[in-house]
Amino acid sequence: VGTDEENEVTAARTPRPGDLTDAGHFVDLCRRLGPAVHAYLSRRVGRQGADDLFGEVWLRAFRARATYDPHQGGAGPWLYGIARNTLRAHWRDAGRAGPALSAVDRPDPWDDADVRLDAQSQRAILRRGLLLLSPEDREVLLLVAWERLTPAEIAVTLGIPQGTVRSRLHRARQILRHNIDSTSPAPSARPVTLSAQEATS
Amino acid sequence: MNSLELLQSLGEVEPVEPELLERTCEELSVAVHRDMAPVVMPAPAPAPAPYRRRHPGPGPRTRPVARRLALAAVVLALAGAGTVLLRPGSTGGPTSAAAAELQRLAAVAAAQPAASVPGPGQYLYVRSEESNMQTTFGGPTDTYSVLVPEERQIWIGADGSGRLVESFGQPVFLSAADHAGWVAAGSPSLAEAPSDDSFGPGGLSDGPTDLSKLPTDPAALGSMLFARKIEGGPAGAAEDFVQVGDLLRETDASPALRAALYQVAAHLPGVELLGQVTDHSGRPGIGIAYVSNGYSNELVLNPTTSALMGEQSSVVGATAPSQMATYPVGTVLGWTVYEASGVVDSTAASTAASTPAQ
Repeated sequence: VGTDEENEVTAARTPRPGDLTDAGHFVDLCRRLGPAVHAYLSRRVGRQGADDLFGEVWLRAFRARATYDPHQGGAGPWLYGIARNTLRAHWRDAGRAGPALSAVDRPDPWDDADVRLDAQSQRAILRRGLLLLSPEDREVLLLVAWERLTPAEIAVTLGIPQGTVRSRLHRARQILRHNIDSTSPAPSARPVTLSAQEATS
Repeated sequence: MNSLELLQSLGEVEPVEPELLERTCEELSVAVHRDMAPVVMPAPAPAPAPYRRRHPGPGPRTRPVARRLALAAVVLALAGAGTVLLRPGSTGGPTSAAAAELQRLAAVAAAQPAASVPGPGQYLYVRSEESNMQTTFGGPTDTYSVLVPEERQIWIGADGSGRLVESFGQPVFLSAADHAGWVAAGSPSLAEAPSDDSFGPGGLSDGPTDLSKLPTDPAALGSMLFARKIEGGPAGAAEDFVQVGDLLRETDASPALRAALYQVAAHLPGVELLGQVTDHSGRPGIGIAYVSNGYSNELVLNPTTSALMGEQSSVVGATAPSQMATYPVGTVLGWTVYEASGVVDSTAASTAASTPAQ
């Protein structure tokens, strides 16, 4: 997660009423948050998949701009929600494409992320705990770890209550703490905290 | 490294390619403006701009319309045809009637003399009257659209040089809501000054500058057009129809090329035959239309010469949600009639030909 990308998303958190009712602002949003949206896709379907879906996300966002509420977490979480819906549609379509794509039968980003884990020789460490998580809990965890979203923002992205986000996050954290950090070859001396954002939001 | 830090490190990915980002945002920009109209955002007056008219069809474009009018997007012209009954939302292949008529027009085009193509030192002259929708974007309450009447004369040289003369009439608000938006915006002046600009070689060129190099074999031309090797743009029959129109309006397309274009259009799924219609000047013609996204783009063709006589864009069904006011079915968003056309020897000359030769 690049610093610039984080800054852009953070900037987009500031509610700016009327942002998306102006065509010029909407296109400006594409330029400002495009890198973050592409990174979201790339983490879940790889670089090529992200390239393929990137334009569709923005067209979907434009068509759905009436659903944007600047008082509900800013444009970043709203866009991640659009990207998530695009991914789910992509996975559904891929699932219908044939059994050769069985890995994407489940709309679960972990299948793709797992490939990168393996490539980086970290698979054994994280896989044990992450596979214990439900897809719902894992999705919340990845939004915290990868997109650096707060529970309030995740609630906007996923369209679920904040309380549900917090409970999923709490559950995921507990599982990681008990099943990963305790067996990590180089555990951190300090307790695992998912994010400072969790405590402040 | 704890589990979260490890997880975060695994989320590191290569940033989006700048070219992909820019292309996507540019396509989005065009789609945004297209969806909200046919309109364009207010923009500073550019330097000499390409002259070619682009019909705003549905879907994103990879190349924006570039035209002299600073405030507006050129929306298609119309042929008023109060007797025309459109069928919004129709899909499928071209009707046999539409295909047959386009094939007949192709034969008519092929039989026309080739004298309409300007030689060295000569110009294609076209005089037209039109009414274009122009939208000024503000906030939710002060965005408004007007129809701006225009008289236009253009001289297009073989080398892309030429002259463009435009004058504008009194704008007309499309709806009471548009008038209210204008008032909310402070009732700014809508007057647009007439212009008379000359262009050096290449100054009036956009897209395929040498139409004589395009194939006149329908299959070969269709392959190039569908592959977007003539003009950029999204895939699909709606865009195909737009590009056929682009190659017909204010161009020196030869009779053979025009014939090939009609044959390409005859095979486009969704093309409709409107039958006999009248253009905005009351002249009878053959109406060909393509309906997409709730808008109907119509071409009016001369039944005896196959020339493009006029165009129109109108609302025929539900349109995509946008900040724009929703106009009722039947609302005409723009029209053009081509009043005269011919080859002349200087940019000071004109032709009184009443039958467009383009």
